[in-house]
Amino acid sequence: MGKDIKQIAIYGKGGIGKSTTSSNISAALAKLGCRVMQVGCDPKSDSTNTLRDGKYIPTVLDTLRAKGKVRADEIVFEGFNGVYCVEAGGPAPGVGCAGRGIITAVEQLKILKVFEDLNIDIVLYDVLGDVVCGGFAVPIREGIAKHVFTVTSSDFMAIYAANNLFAGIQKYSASGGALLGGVIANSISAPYSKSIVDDFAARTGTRVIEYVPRSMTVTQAELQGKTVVESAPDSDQAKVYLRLAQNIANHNQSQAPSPLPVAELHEWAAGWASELLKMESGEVREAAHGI
Amino acid sequence: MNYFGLRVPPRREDRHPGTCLAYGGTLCGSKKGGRGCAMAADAERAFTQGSICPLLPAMGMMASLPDTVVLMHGGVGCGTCLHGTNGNVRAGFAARRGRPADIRWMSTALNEIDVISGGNEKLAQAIKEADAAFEPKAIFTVSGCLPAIIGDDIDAVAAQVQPEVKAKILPVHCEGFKSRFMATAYDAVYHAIGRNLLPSPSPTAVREEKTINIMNVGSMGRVDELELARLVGSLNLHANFFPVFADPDSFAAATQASLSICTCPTHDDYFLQYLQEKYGVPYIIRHMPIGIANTGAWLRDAGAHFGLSDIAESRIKAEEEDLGNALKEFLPLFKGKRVFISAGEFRSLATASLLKELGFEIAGIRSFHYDQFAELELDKLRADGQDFVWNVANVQPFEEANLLKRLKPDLFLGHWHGNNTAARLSIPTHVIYNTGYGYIGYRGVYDLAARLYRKLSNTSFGDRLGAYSQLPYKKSWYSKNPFLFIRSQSGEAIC
Repeated sequence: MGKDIKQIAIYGKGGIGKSTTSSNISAALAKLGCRVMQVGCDPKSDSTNTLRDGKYIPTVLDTLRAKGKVRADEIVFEGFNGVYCVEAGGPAPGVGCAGRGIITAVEQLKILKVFEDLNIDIVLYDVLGDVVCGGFAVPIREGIAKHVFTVTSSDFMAIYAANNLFAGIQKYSASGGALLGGVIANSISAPYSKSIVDDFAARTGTRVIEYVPRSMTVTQAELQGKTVVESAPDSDQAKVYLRLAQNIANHNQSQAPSPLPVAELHEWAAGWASELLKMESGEVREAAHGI
Repeated sequence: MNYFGLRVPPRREDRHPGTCLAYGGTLCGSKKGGRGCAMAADAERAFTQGSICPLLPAMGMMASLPDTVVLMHGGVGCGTCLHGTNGNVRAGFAARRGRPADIRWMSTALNEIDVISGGNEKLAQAIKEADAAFEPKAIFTVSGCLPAIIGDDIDAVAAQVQPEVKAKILPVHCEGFKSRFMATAYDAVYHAIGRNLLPSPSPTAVREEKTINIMNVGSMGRVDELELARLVGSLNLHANFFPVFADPDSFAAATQASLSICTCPTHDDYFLQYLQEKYGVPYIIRHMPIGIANTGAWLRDAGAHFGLSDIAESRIKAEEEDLGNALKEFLPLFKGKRVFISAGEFRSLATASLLKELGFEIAGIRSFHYDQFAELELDKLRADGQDFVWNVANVQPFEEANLLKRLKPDLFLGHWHGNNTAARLSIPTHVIYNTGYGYIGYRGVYDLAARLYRKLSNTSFGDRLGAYSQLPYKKSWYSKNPFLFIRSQSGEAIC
C-alpha cells in the first residue's frame, strides 16, 4: 500500500487571494522539506505563476485538446524549491463547461498516477471561487481532497461564498467527501475584520487557522512574479506563511461545518452592520480605533 | 400572435396549456363533467418505462427535405434515430422524385474536450464541410441536449458562418430535454423554416387563387398525397404539399396560396398561424381525412372556402357510393371484431372512426398525447354513446400489455416499432405507418380494409408467434390496475 498523500483543497471567492495564499503555502511547505504539488483548478490558469517567475505553463486541458492524450512530463512543471506545478485549464470565457474541465483534468492526474510516481507528500488544489456546479466540487468529493481550507476576508460577499462552500462540504461529508480544516483569514488589517471572521467561524462550527495581514510585501513579490517566501524570505509576511504551512502540515482532524441558512446569514451581516455603525459614531469607542 | 421573432421557439405545453401525457380511463369519462376520471392536465406517472425524444419526429421531418443536410450538433449517438427513418425517406424520394436517396446527415460528435471548450468552433467547421461536400440548398443545424446544457450558441455560429457558405443555415432548437411532448418538435422545425426559407412579405406578391397548401405529415405516403390531390383536383384546385419532402425553395410558394389546410390538426397550427398573420393565407385546422365521414368533412371544408360546396357535396356523394359498394365484400368478416389502436393523437382517433365505419368495435385506444385540437375528434367518437378504454401515454408498453391482456382484442393497429407487445400476445397486428400503402382519403379506407381483410382471414402467424414468445412482466402486474402509476402532481392516484 502506498503512502498516505495529504490532499488539500483551497477555496474562496474570486479575487480574495486564494492563488497568492496557495502558492505561498506551497513554497513554505517545500521549505519545510515536503514534496509538494499545487494544482490550479481555474480556467484562468494562473494559480502557479508566482512559483515559476510569473510564467504560464501548458494546461492539462490544452495539452489534451492538442494531443488527444497526455503524459505526466507534458503537464507537470517544477517551480520554486521543487514545488510541482499543474494547471487544469479550461474554456475561454463565456463558452463550454469549466466544471467539466476540472473533472477531466483531475481524472487525468489520477490516471497518470503522478502523485505516486513523484512521491508527493502534499497536494494543494487551488479552486476557482464559488462552488457553482458539480465540477468545482470534484476536489472535495469522491475522496480526492481530505481537508478543505477556505480563504476569506471580512467582506460580506467573501463570507457568503465561504458559507456556500460549507454547504457543499456538508452535502458530501456523509459520503466520504472532504471535511473542513478551517478558515484562512486574509487581508486582515483592522481589528473589526478579525472579529467578523472569528464570529463567522464560531457560528459555522469551524476555526481560523491563521490571520494573514494585508501587506505591501505581497504586492511587491507578485509584481516580481514570485511568492513572498521566495522574494522576501525573512519578512514578517513570510513568517506568517511559514507558520500557516506548518499548521497545515500538522493538521489531521477536519470536520463537517454548519453553514448558516441564507436568511440567517443576512441577519448576521445586518447585526455586524449595526455594530460597525456604532463604532463609527463613537458609541463603542474601544473598538473604534480600527475604523 | 406568433413566436417567429424569437430565437428559440416555445414548448408546445407552454403554448397550449392543458396538453396532457397521462390519462387512463374511458373515452366518455375523459370529458369534463362526464363520469369516470376526468382528464387532468397536470397528470404524471410515478413510473415511466420510456418516452419519445422530440428529436425523433423533428429529425424525421427535416431528413425528408431534398437538397438539405441535417447537421446534428451533439454527442455521438444523438440523432441515430435517423437510421430507422432512412428506409422511409428512400421510399419517399423514389415515389416523389423517381429514385431513392439516402438521408444526408452529419454529426459534430462532440467529445469531452468539446464539452469543456464549447462546441461552437466544431459546429462552424462542420457547416463548412457539409456545404462543400454536398452543396445543399439548406443545412439544418440541430442542437442536441449537450450543447444546450453548456450553452453553445447555434444561432451566432450560423450568422457567423453564413457569409462563407452557399446553403441557407437553419438553426433548430429541439434538444431532447426541452419537452416530453413530441408535438414540440413540429413547432421547432417550422420555426427554423419560417425564419429562413420564406420571402419578405410584398404587396406585389401574386396570390394563387386556385392553389391550396395541404400540410402533410411524415406518416403519409405519396399515394396518400395523390389521393388528396385527386380530391381537391375535383374542385379544380391545385395542391402544394408541405412540409414533408418539400424542396427548400418551394416553401416560398406557401405564402402565395389561397388556403392552407391541415391533415393532422395537432401538427401545423404554429406555422399556419404565421402564414396567416404575415402573408394573409387563411387556414383550416379541423379534420384529419382518415375514414369516410372525416374525408367528406375535410373536402367539404375546402370546398366551402372556395364557394364550391355544391361540387364538393356531389363528389362526396359519388365517392361514398363507389366506396360503399367496393367495401361490401369485407364487411361480414369485420362485423363485431374488437380492435385496439395505438398511434399519435389524431391518427389513433381518426383511425377509430374509420374502423367503426367498417363495422369494427373499438376495444381501446392509446394516444401518444392529448391537446385541445382533439376535442372535436373525441366528440365524434363519443356521439354514438359507445364507450371504450382510452389511454394517453407517451408509449409506456407496460400499461399497454396490461390493457391488451384484459381487453383481448381481435386486432391491433400500431406503429411498426410498437406492435411487438400485441404480437407476443397472439393478437393479429397491422402497421399503420407504412407509407407505401394508402391510408388517407377514400382510397385509403379501401386499401386499409383490403389489408385488414387479408390479415384477419388467416391469423396463424400471430397464433404461433404468441405460443413461442413471452412478455417481460410478472404475472402479478396483470392483476393490477393498468393505470396504477398515473398520479396528480401532488402524488394522488387519479384512476
